[in-house]
Amino acid sequence: MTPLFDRLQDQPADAIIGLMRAYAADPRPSKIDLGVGVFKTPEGLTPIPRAISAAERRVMDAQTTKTYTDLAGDITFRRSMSDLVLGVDYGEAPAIATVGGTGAVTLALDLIRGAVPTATIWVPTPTWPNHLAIIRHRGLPLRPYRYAENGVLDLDGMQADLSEMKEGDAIILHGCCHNPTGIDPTLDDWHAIATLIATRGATPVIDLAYQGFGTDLDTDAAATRLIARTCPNTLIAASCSKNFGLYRERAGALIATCHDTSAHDRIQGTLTALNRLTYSFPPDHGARLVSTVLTDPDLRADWIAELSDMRSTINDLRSALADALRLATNSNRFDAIATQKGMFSRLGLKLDDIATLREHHGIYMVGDSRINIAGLTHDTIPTCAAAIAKTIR
Amino acid sequence: MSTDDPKTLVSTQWLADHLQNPDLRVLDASWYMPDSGRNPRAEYDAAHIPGARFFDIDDISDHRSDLPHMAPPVEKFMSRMRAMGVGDGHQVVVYDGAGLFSAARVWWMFRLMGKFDVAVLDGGFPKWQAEGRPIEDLPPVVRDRHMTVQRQNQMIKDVTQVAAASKLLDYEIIDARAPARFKGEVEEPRPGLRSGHIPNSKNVPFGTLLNEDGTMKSEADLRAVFDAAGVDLGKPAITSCGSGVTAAIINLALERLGRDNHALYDGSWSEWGMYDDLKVAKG
Repeated sequence: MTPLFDRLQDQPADAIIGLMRAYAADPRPSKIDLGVGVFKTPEGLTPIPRAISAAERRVMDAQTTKTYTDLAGDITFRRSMSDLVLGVDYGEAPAIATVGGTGAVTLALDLIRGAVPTATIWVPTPTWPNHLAIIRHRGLPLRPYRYAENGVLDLDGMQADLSEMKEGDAIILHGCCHNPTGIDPTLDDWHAIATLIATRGATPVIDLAYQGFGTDLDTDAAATRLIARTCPNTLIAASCSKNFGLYRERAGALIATCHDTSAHDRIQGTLTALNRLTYSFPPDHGARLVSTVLTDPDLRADWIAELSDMRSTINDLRSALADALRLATNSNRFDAIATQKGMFSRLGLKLDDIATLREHHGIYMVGDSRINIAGLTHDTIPTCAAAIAKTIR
Repeated sequence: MSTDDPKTLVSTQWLADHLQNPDLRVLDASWYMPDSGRNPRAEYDAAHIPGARFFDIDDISDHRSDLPHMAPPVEKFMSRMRAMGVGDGHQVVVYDGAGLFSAARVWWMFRLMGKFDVAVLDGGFPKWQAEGRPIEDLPPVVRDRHMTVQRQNQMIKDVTQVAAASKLLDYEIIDARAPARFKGEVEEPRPGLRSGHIPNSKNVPFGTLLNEDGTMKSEADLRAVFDAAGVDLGKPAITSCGSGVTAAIINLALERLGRDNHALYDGSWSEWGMYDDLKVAKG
């Protein structure tokens, strides 16, 4: 007899978490962490946004009970998230509070598996590695589609691949600030992509983890809104980790849009049941902070201002890094970093080069050469650029 | 005698025949080594082919780079060309005051920007003058012309790509500098640079591609020069020189031979010679 735990297999080390450990253990004071996707100030801190702190004090003072909330999550949170993502003019959409954006993605996949057990899930190449892992864990068939190559969007390849989608398939899309490339389609590109998805009868699953980190809250949601208008059914996994600085609180929402509004009750019932089946009630604390910020005009304005500051910090670092790399490498191969969106860019380095940067220069990045732009500072950019230039020569 | 080809090389007679064509643009792209004592702009002001514009290689370059006259950003090229009245639908002819020295660089730059209707004037200004053809000292009347640009990234290589090619041997790296510099027997003119050449590169001094009068050799003769240097013309090529100017003469010669897979190492020896961590070969 083989005891249960003896049957378990070793899990592949999570690349990013392993990198965080190696970074922590590195004694060099000049080390630079470009790994995990967390916003950092020039001082290397990940602050709690002012509005979130204020909301937290307010909730603490006002909250009199910790009893269960709605199975679907607090209604104010769901409405305000739906408004944030779809725009106030959209009207109501079925939604649930989830355990962060990842929780929303997993429940979206569970919904698809329940409705179409044979559905293939189409995933961009490259994508956030956890997308692949959680799709495989659910035993769903997975097909990669071409997304970006050599630092540019491969729209032709993408359309060629997606023309093979079957009715009932689902496709993972990054709503903005594509992770790991930072390359987003234009709205015209999105229009063509959404039309193709609708024509094939597939369902878009939009992972919206960085709303507000690209251009602004509405512009970053424009692709999501366009897809929701074009495709009859759309699932949107919205994360509050980055834009509200709530990483550890696990606040997120799964929102469903459906052109046939008479189906809303059935969809809402299904979403709520998914929460119930998975963990009964979704966490409430982070969600309540978000809805407090979104519904209070002063807190909301302050949050938008602070989010805009975070975005400027990242975009300034982007320009500075692109300039420094152009100077250090005498080539324009890194110019696109300046115009890519969100926290990440991919440098397109080889594994050897990434190892050299880590061992000789104390610069830590993930194995696909994704860098977290916010891990840089204006002080570290020149040394970082010089190290990269030296390494790739 | 050269065969006129408006995409590579045209004769002085061809240019004389087409000079009145309203869609023809002539560029004086003269540029000389800093120690030559020649002032290309002043020479242009004093005498140039009628209607020619002066193309300043040092100005129309990437000023964000520390290296000399690197290829300009597309926006800069577009706006400079527009201001010079050079744009879409134009046939461009480039020449220089040395016969053939810097004009090929501008020919290459137009192609880099996706403009292929460009030719070098065979024999350049010296031949034009020697034949007693018309010259003038008047500035041209310029009207804005829109230019659309599509950068051809495969035509330019950076140090990373050249370093890889030097190891993988998947390109012929062809160096246009004089043999003494290639072999590392003399100091580089630019201070601080090491002497020698990129490992596994071949030496084809640009002068060996030209006749005495500065015109380009015939195809058969060009082929013989590359053969003698051990260049496999079947392989894709990367050209290099001191600062990326005369290397383009090799690109022009390769194009004349019907090769289309050739790129230019823009940093050239100004860059490779600077970094101690890059290997240097001598002899």
